[in-house]
Amino acid sequence: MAMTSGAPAGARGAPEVTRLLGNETAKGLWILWSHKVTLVPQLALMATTYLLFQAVLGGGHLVQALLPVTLFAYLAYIVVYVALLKMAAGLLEEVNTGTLEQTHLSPLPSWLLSVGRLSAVLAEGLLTAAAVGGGLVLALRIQLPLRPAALVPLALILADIAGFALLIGGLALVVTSIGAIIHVIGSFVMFLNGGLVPVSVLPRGLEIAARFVPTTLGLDATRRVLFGHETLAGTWGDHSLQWALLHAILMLAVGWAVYQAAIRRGLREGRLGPQ
Amino acid sequence: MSTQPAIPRPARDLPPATAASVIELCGLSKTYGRGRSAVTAVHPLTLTMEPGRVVGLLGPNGAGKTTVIKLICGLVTPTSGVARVGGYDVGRQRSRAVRQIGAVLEGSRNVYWSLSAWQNLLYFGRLKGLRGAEIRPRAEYLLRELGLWERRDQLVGGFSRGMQQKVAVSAALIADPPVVLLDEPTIGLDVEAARTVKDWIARLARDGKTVVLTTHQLEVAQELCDRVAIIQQGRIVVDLATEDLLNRYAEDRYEIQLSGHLRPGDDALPHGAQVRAEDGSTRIILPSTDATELYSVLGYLRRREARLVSVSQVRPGLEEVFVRLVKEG
Repeated sequence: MAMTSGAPAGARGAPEVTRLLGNETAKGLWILWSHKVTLVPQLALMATTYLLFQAVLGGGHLVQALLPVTLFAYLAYIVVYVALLKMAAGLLEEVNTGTLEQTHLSPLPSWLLSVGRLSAVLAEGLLTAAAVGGGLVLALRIQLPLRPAALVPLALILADIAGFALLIGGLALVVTSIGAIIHVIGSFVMFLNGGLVPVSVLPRGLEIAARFVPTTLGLDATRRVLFGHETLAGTWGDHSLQWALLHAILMLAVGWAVYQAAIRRGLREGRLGPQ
Repeated sequence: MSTQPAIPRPARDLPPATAASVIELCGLSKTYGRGRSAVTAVHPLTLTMEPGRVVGLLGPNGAGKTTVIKLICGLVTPTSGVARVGGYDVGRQRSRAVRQIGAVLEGSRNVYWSLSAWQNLLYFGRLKGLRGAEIRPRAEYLLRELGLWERRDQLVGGFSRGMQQKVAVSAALIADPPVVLLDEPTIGLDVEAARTVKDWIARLARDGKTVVLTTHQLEVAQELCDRVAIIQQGRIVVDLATEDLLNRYAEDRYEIQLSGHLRPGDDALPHGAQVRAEDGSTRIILPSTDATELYSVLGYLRRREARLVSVSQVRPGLEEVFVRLVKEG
């Protein structure tokens, strides 16, 4: 047999980035599908939780007019929940099983691996939210107003979630016990972003605090576009879009910095693998 | 005449130079933590490894073997020194350096148990920068060779420990790397699975790959390794060709093989000599004997008309050498 003394050539540039994102997303979806037996009840539970809270809010009835408003926020919470679960508990599981180290044996740069992981996490979150949302819309005949202009604040919500997921993922690599309180963090987002109770009915102090919670400001701008029939220029003018943009940028910057620092620390201290 | 099908190999870059050593560790050290809590896992060590060799990195628990492996992989950043793989600096040319490496790490699953064997190889192949068309024939080759082809679509979590380890080995070899790092690859495997992994290690070396192997199973190391580096408390205490190491620690002990049984009355043998009668033969093991004493015993046996078959110096096994070295510190 001939001696082998090289390494795979592999391509560089945009196709490589696309391939990596596709690869990570495919892996995430394969793993999600492998847990299909528990996935279905999980989706049903998510839908039921939403219905129960809406029924409590409506005094035993579902208030049809309120459903579209809260559903958007609830779906955003689902994306947050899945993203947190995958970026904290999922990451810690990968540390313990050694697969995180194996992924870092890739010739691809660390930042690209982070983007790949994030894209997979968001894809899983969006798919889960789409399944729950689709089911609720069909079952309850919820009329969701859809306007292309809403894509801008929706993109900001996604960026906000991405930053938050990176932040929690980075923290989980340093303080592993954070994995145990992911559900608490998720619930905190759910109660304050308007997913179950509109932010406007919260006490003043909580209403202010809610603005710092990921997705709240983006959802506020989305609601103005979808339900208030405001234009993007209008939401920019009343500062709601500006605040959402600022929050998303800050969250992404902080999340990215914390996550990358945690990976560097992990490499320095040999903590990316089983201890 | 039959021709052997070509082994599927991905396209590859050539290393920067046809270096005599494929792995170079120059003053490489690692200290975890700072101040009073600082623990030095690896003291500055310099080591080179030639292509096509199996190098055993041996040592007791906590000696620093796994840290050395991870320093070579770039999975731990060194406190000082440089690691080069295929001529590439792992710290500064990380991307090119890790292209040269496939690794199965200790205490890890190494692959995703929620994916099938096939999905794992596709995933890790793409992660190594390969395209699907390059991965598929290589993955099929590896899975067939390791006897996993029929079960390629089953989740790895449902496999036996041995099969899971084979998937990990396949994933490490998917990009056909010239350097393979195996940290305790046979631990927890049954005899058959361990044999398959050992056969593969030997095969990798024949294929020209450099294999760095850590193991506590010293008979595995003795069987497979061309060279052995024993590490203790983060320091290399011995780095020799396996044969040279065994010869160095060969004692002045001799084994005399006789045909037939020695009649009673062998009180002329030195104190501590062991006489063992075996099926139609006798084995005499002489403790710490110099040449004069050996000739004296041979003369005695001649006088007793014993039929001599062989005289050989007793060589200790790697395990015996290892225990001695570790005790000596």
